[in-house]
Amino acid sequence: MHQSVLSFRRSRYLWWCSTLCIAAIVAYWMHEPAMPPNGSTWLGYTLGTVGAVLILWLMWFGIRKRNYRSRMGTVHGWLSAHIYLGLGLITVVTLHTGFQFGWNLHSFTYVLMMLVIASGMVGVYCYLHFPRVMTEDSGESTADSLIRQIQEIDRQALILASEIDPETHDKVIKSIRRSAIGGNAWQLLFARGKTRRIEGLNLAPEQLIQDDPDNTDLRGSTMMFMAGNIASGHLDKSDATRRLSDLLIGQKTVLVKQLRRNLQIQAFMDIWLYFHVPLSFALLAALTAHIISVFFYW
Amino acid sequence: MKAHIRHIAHKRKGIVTESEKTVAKQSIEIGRATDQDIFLADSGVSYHHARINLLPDGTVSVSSVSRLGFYIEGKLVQNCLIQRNGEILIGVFNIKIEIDAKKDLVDITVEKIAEDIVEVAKERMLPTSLEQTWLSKRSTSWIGFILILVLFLGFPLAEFYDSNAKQVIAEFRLPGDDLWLSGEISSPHRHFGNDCNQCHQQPFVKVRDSACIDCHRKITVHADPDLYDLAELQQTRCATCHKEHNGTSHLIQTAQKLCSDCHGALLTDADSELTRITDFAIDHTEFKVSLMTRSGLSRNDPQAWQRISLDDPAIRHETGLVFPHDVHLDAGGVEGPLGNQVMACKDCHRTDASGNYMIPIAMEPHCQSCHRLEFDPDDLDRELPHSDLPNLRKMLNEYYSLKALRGGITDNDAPDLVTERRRPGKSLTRKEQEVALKWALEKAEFVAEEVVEFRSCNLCHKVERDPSVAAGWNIPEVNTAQSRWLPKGDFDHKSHRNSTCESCHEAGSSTRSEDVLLPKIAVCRECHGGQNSDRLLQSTCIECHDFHQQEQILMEVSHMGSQSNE
Repeated sequence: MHQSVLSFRRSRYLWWCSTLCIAAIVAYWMHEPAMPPNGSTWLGYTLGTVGAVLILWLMWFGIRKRNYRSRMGTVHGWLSAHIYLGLGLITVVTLHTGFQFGWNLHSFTYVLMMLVIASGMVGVYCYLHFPRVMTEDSGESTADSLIRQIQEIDRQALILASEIDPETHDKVIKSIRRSAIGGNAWQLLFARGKTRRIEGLNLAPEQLIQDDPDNTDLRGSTMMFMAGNIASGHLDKSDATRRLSDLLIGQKTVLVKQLRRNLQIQAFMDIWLYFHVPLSFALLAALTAHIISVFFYW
Repeated sequence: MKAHIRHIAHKRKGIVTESEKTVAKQSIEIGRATDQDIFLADSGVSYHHARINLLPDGTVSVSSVSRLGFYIEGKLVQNCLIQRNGEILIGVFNIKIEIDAKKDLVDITVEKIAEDIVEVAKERMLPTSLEQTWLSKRSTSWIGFILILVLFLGFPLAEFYDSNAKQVIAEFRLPGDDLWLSGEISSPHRHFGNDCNQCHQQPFVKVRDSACIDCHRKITVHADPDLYDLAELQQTRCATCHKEHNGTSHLIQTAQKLCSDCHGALLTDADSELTRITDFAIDHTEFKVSLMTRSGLSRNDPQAWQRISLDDPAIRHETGLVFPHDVHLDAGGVEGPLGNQVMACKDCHRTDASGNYMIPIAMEPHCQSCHRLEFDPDDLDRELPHSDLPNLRKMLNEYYSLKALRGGITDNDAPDLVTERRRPGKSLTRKEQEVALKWALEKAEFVAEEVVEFRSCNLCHKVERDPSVAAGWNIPEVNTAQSRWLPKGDFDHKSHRNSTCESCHEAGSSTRSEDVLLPKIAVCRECHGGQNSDRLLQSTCIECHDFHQQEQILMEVSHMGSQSNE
């Protein structure tokens, strides 16, 4: 049975995290150092060590999840622990700082860690939210199947077009070439693409021509060509033309739109990791420098 | 129904393979799941995608089980009926259905659409996931990792180890080990604070005492190392207590723990003569006053001093004087040379230039303006010198001899020779001179006795006649030269100048000069609470006591030896 990563084993790691945080807070509260609380009291060193070990362990998740043969718990369990113990770091490390901040390496390390945690929290949200959206949106269709369906429409369109005349065939080939799927990161994230010109128009082609006959943007498009053919009614093979127009304008437009949204959601689900991972490695570097520096100038 | 299913696969290099099977079932299942009758290995196909049924009228119905549907004649549909034959498209598979009504058999041919169409389409495909775009986790991770290590570790280390790098970093104001600064440097150290190596001299070694003592040469230890050979004292580094990088206010520890950690545990050490003290308000012994004894020893000699608790009923300060405070502080006033005078503490007790301590009481500055040492009613401006008893008679004799030889003395008991006024130029005969000097000697003797025993000295001193000494009297040594009474503490009058003297010193009711009028701890506790007091002035040990005892040896001598090999 599917179990949310947050409620894994009756939220076992939530309890671990809570215990850790409460222990840290109680210790901080009871601790009465002879100087302002900071990282160099015994409690400061303890919290710092716990924090550093936690960070290394949390980063180990990146290795663990790739190691399919590992028998050290399930990846699902590791992820649950990764999330909760990562959140626990906020308490442990904030207390380690003793609330002393400045323009230095040490606070920089802290800020990096908080950014990593914040990006991770975004990740948890994406991990829980977007799969649901995607199921609601596309059902079982994966991006791959949508692409194949679009390719199939292209294939059939070409077959139909060749039945009409060479000019139509040529137009359809150009149209297929032009309607590239996917794009750069920006286009994926904002569901933009090069085929924008033939999508999102649910109006009947005849009506479009009447509404705006001078629209050069539209005029050059496959759709307009098709619409023109249908409207003129001069072509013998009007049935084939209608079917072609239905394929390219009706079905393909819907599929492309669906695919764009599918890819967009997938991109949303992935984008946070492009912050989380590099920030984590930046944190690892800063943490290394932090630990070396405090003992270098002991 | 019975179905004959043929799978045609186009392999590479034009090889075509076929597989056939005949199935007799109610309906033929199509899908990506392996238990399907028509197994279509394609991600565009659902696990249970569609179903083929032969209807009683001899037609075939194809119905979609999944939401995805299938294509027939280019249209996406959920259901369709096939009269005799037809082609449907599911995923990349073309499924051709032919009904052989005579044999009650359905021929199904499954053919994968030539891969190359799909492959060509793939070639012109743009990235469909972020992973395929220019975004990269790996390269940004490496760049960030290396940049941070270079900036935050490389630069400071270069500055430490390489003098050229240090020069370049300073010249171009590049970030160096200042990035490592872990907190605000205290203001007294800030003038050299940008040079970390003034204190952090060796990598991975805690700041050594030598770095502190380089400047703080005169700092002394807490306790005599010979008497208290304790690891806590001998091996504790300066920086254990004096924590830098916590701002100015925390460089010197004021917490009670600093003292009570050791002084609270002293009770367990049977050999220790020190008392256990943990908190001023609830766990502090009565003050012990340091009194200089009248032993005749120098005040620098420790033997000359006695420490005695204010609780001790036998406590007395042997001043050697007869001095009742109550008489002087009488609200009705006391008779002085200028008439009745109401006196206040400050008439005698004044602080020194620092304002902290009282100037010791002495006759000339404090008493003599009232207690004049006049002796001749005819010459009230003339006073005897104080503290010169051995020469008293001689001096009086000289005074009266001169007067007698001059004549004109107003004394009914004196011979005429001495009382009569003489004309200028008239000199006495030898016989007359002898008479006059005899009188002067007797007069001096009389006045000395009167001044010492009845009129002046006896007022403040306990005078004893003693013919065996040259002066003729014994006057006990006076012991008022003390200005510090609680030298182990750091009490000062200046910070208490807004309180009246009487609020601490009960002088008005003191009848004896031996009374020690220092306030007991209870008086201090009226205002001063312990470290955690919520209604009184929070006072920790450091408020009154110094850690570094000035009379002890220099840390440079004691401390650095034990740490040099650390």
